[in-house]
Amino acid sequence: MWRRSDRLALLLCTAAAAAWAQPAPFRAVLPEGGPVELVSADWGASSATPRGGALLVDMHASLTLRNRSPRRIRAVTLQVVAQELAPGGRGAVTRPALDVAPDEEFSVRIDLRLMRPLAPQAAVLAEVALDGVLFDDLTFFGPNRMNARRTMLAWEMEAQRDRRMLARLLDSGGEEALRARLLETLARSSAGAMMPVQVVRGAAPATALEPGRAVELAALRLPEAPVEVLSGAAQVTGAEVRAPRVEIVNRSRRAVRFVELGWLAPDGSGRLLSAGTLPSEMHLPPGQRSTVRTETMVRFARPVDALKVYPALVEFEDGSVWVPTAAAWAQPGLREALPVSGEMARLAELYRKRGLEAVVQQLRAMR
Amino acid sequence: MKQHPSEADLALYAGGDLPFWQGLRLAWHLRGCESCRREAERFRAALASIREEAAASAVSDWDALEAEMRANIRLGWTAGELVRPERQTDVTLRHDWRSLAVVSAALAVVAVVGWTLHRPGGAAEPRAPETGIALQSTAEGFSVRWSAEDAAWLGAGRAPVAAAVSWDGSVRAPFVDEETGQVTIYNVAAQ
Repeated sequence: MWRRSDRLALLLCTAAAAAWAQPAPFRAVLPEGGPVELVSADWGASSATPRGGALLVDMHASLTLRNRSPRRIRAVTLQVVAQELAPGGRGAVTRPALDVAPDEEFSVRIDLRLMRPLAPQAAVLAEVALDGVLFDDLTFFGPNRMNARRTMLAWEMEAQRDRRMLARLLDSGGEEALRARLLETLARSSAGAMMPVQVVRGAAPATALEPGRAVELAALRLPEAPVEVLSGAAQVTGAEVRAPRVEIVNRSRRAVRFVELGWLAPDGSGRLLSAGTLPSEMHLPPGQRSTVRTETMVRFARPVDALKVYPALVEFEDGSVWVPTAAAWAQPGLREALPVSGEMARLAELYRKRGLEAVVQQLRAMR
Repeated sequence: MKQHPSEADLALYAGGDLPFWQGLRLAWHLRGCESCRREAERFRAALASIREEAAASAVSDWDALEAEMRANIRLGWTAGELVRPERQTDVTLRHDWRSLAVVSAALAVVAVVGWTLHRPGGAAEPRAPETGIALQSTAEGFSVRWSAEDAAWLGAGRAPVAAAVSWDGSVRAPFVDEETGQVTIYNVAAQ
């Protein structure tokens, strides 16, 4: 028979042993034998803070990885999980625009704040894992839980398109034309290219008592787009847009499994700003129509009376991805309306920081 | 000045931001260098158009400006909350005395700007819903808001270069590191 004091002593010893053996609160786990190997992890000033009944996990980390595959790596996505199911518990960090040779090391910086239930006994607060690797031949490896493949492929295709576009501009118009385009991109970025937007789900609109009005959506037709927007409508109340319905048709010869519609809304001066995207998983055979809809409410920073919608990304059943082609940027009115791609913004930033020669070098090296 | 000035110096000169003597030397160079003079003119024109556009949007966009400043204030509060010693759990990995100075400065800015912004009927920032999840692009990045009190930011306060707020409740925001030029895309699913 154990006495109460013995039990207490045992409990204390067990607790002390558990505390001594407690692993680091942050952990990076990469698959053994995979194309990417963890060299080191610096968790820096990462911390966790109680906030009500939850724990705010603030991750500021730098991971050094090595390419263990025989191919060059173009992009890597890591998933960061503080908790699986509740809101704000999961995120992904992607490093696109890479050119990592076999056996070469590269780093991934993570600055992300997530939430998890307040559970002091939890050994690991957040875990970093591989979600996908994109190689230079556009093949993919990874569990793809955060749709890393689509994100990385779309970025890479947009990047290739924009670099080709700029290289052609350099060949035809010289450095002056290239500089003008980069300055135009910087000017658009500095003027703010995004409409502040709130996405509200599962909540009644703040202006529920006001009757909404049905607004017809204007379809932006892009050249060479495999999916065309035919028509659409949404309920608009002041700055709130609800229940959009967009009818689309598959003009291509391949079945489509995912469409992302881009939205544009005018600011106070009539300039079109990016107002978010509406993604939709589907099975859309060639020639067929479908209606993309959501019950989400979107609240803008100002009242809207007109909205434009266009196909921003299409993924086919065979896994290939379409993004708007260079022809769209050559069309009057479209270049000013379509949002600047991440790669174009990166190159414009490179010009601002290091001058035109640095951009020209990159365009030549990445041809 | 025998060598051509750098693009950075020309840009600073065009904006009137070069120190006096350096500016004088550069102006002397421009007198005899056609290509540099053209370059400086180009910078001047670009700056003028950016300023015009910024001025136009600033005048017509007081509400957005206020929302942006309020977002900055909230960021300061959150930073203060996160490094306050008595509320921090034992998982903090590194302490730095400079954090205290940053928090003090942030709180001072919060007090001054908050007082300045307080005017009747001036609540232009979109309200967080009582239930549900709200995502909002702000000047310093993307905030993901779970309730009226809780918000989080992606990219450690930097501004994304381009971004997509998805109407299904997720956010995709690419950031460029100013030092290295490296791109990082953050993707948070609010479900």
